[in-house]
Amino acid sequence: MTTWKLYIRGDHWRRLDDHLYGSPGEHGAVLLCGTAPGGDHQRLLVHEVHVAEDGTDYTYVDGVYRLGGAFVTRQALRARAEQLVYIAVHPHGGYDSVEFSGIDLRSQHNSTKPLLAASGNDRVGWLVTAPAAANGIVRTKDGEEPITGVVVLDEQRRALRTPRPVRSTSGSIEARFDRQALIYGDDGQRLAAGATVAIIGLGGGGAMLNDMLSSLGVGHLVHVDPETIDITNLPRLIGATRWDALEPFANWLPEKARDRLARSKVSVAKRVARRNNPNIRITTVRREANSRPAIEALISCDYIFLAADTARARLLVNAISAQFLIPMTQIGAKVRVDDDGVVKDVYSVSRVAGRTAGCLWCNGLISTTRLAEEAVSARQRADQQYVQGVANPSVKSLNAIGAAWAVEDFRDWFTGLGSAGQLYTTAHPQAPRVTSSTPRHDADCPFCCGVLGRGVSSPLVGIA
Amino acid sequence: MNATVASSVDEAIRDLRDHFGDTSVTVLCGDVGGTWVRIDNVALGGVWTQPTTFVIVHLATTLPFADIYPVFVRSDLTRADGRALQTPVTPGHQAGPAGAQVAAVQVSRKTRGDASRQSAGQKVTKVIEWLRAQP
Repeated sequence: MTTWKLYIRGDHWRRLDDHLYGSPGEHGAVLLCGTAPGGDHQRLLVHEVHVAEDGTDYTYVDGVYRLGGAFVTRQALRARAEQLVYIAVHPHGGYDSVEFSGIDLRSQHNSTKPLLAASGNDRVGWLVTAPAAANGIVRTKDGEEPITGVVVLDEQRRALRTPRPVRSTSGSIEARFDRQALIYGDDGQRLAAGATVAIIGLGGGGAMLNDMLSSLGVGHLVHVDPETIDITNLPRLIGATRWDALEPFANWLPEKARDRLARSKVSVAKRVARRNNPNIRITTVRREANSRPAIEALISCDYIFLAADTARARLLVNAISAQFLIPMTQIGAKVRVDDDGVVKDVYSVSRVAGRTAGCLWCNGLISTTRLAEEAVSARQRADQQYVQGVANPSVKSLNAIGAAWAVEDFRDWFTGLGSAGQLYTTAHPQAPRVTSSTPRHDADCPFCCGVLGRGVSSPLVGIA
Repeated sequence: MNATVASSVDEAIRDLRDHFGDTSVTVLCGDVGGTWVRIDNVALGGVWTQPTTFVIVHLATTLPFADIYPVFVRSDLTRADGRALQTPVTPGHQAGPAGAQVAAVQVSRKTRGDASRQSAGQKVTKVIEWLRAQP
């Protein structure tokens, strides 16, 4: 049976919550949602929140609260125009458990067909909420599919669901994770075990992320990288051996042949992850991030770590993060060296996006020039005299700083401990100093406003 | 999965045709990263000896977010005053798809700020107007 979860970004949730619970009485709203595939459930992604004005759009008639006909029609037609799913929402009493009333169910039964027709969709839904719970239903012309919970993506990740899960008893978590379960509890460890996390780029930074996330107990990792191991990678890739890079054959095997025959980075990452957690599930995509197999894997994830340093990867992941409501962290490390070889600056960054408004595009972190440069062949780039083929200086310890910061933040956020927030953090180990800033947000950003929550109903930019 | 990426390039080509005329714009070839397009009979003048030029650009599949950069013009471009070409206008380049490239002068003018706020026609027009206005 198809089941759904509804995902909503924090600013939308606060607006909805404020409307539903901010004043006495019962209030209503309509959510217009994109959809996306998930792991064990389908996803409704909130693109727009339309609150119903009390007394006009939401009235109390014959002892029953109801959405007004004009309001419903307006939102249904908007759902049709935008190819979104119409979800009506209202609150009930209670705290951590909530159900539809008999009146609710009769109203849904009577409204399903007309709403399906008006919205032009094959699904419409209803959601009822309590402060710590949510319950819902999606109806089609042939049946119904439960909405089993609401996931709020905010400074702190929250999950509302009914029935309220039974609290775990200690001893039900694998012994290997016992010490870390002391930090965020068995529930937190269980949340990590149920998470699907992608790592794009399994070079130095990505290999660090892979090692830490698999050790954390993340249940499912998605590895995306097309490359093979090179001898120069060995000092930075956790778990890579000289045999993976075919180093013992370096003297007689041509470089091109070594490049083709060496072990892939995703293969090494899988080996490391399984060593850390034998029960981990791995999805391997030995392709570029903007390939179809990679995108199909990414849009079902709960979180994405971006450790690949191309503008195209940033553009794509930024789009997926906004469009599919999947939070992300981009990590990177840089050693700036002047023309005389003098080190001018050394830093490691961790940039969080997708939990609230404000993305990599809003903050000018996706170079439009680099996008143009990356779109032509290497030969063309050489002719155009772009600086290329010059390897960035890189070292494991510097990669570790950004990766550790990112994983710590993810762990706190995902398990509900509460993170420091959606921040851009830069560590300068030579200074030494760490700076954090809150990213800005463009009100008309094409990503974190324009395609927010549209899911599969909108095209995705930059697919190969 | 709805993947109409080519639509952004198609839209850019339509915009170039709106700006420069239907018959002047030729699609040369598509590749993995985008599509090469040629525009003929673009007016020059100003300090340039030649009255017109072709323009060749690469339209990336990541439009409108990618810049249209660089822009290529005729390889024999010269100044009427005889002065040598200077950066960002540089001779001796190749433009167009692999296997069908032509010699060209490269005009390296990046867009400042958000490239997605201008259309393809606006970008090419801006570069040509800059070229015309050179002292």
